Amino acid sequence: MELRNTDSSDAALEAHLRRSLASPALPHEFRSRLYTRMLSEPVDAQAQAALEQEWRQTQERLLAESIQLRWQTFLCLLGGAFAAGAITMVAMPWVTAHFGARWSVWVPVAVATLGLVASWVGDPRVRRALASIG
Amino acid sequence: MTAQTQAIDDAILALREQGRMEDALVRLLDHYEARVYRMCRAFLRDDSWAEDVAQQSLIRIWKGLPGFDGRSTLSTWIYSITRNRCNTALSGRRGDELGDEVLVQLADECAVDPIDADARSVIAQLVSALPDKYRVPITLYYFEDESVSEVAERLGCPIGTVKTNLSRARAELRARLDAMGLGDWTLWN
Repeated sequence: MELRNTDSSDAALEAHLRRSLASPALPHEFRSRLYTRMLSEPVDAQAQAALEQEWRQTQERLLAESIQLRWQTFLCLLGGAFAAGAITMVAMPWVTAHFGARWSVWVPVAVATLGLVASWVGDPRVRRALASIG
Repeated sequence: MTAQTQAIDDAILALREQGRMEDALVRLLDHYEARVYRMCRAFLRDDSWAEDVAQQSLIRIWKGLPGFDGRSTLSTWIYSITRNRCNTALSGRRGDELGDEVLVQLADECAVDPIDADARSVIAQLVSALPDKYRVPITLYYFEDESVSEVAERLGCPIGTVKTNLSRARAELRARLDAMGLGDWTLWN
C-alpha cells in the first residue's frame, strides 16, 4: 500500500479546488434580460398578488371561525354545567319526597340493575332461550 | 448569515414596507442576483441553464416579496426558492450525469502524461462528476468562498451534514485521482 503525507495531500487538493472552482461571473447583461422577462409577466404578477390576497383572506376567515367555535364550545360547556346544577337543585327535593332520604343509594342501584337486565335480555342467546321456553 | 446580509435584508424589507418596491428590487438584485446565479450554476453545471433558472427564481422571489411573512429570514427564503427551482429543473433533466465512459476517457487523456494534464480542468470535471449531494456543497463552498454555515443556510440543511459531505467529497476526489494515476501531488504544478 502506498503511504502518502496526508496533510500535504489535503493542502494540495484544497489549493487545486480553490483554483479549479473559481466563482463564475454573472453573465453579461443578466439584469437587463431579467427586467425584460419581468416586464413580460405583468398579468402573472397581478394574478399572483390576487391569489396571495385571497389566501390571506381565507387564513383570516379560518382563524376567526376557529375563535368563534372555541367561544361557542366554552359557552355550551358553561351553560350545560349551569343547567345541570339548576335541574339538580330543583329536582332533588322532589326526588327526596318521592323516593325517600336514601334515594341516592337505591335509585342508582335500581337503574344499574335495570341496565344489566336489559343487556342480558338483549343478548341473542338469551332471547333464543326465552323464545324456546315461550 | 452575516451582519451585512442581515442589514441588507432589513433594508429591503423596510423599502417594501414603505411601498418602494422598485428600490427594494434594485437592492435585492444588487445583493442576491449573483449569489442566486452561482447557486444555480452549482446545482445545474451549465451556464445558460443556470441563467434561465436563476431568472425564474428571481422573478418568483420578486412576485412573492409582497407576501413574505418573515417566518424565516429573507436570505433563507430566497435560497429555498432558488433551491426548489433548481431541484425542479434537475428533476426534469436526470440521466445526463457524467458517466463512467467520460471518466475513463478523462483518465486515458491524463494517463498519457500527468504532468501535462490541465489540473484545473481535470479537477473541475471530477467535481462535476460527483453525486449531487457532494458536488453541490463543495461547489458552493469554493464558488462563494464562504463558511460552512453559510453553505448550510443555502442548502437548507444542518452544518454537520455539510461538513460530512464536504469531507466525503474530498475523499471521493482523492480516490478518483488515485484511480486515474494522478494521486501524486508532486506531479501537479
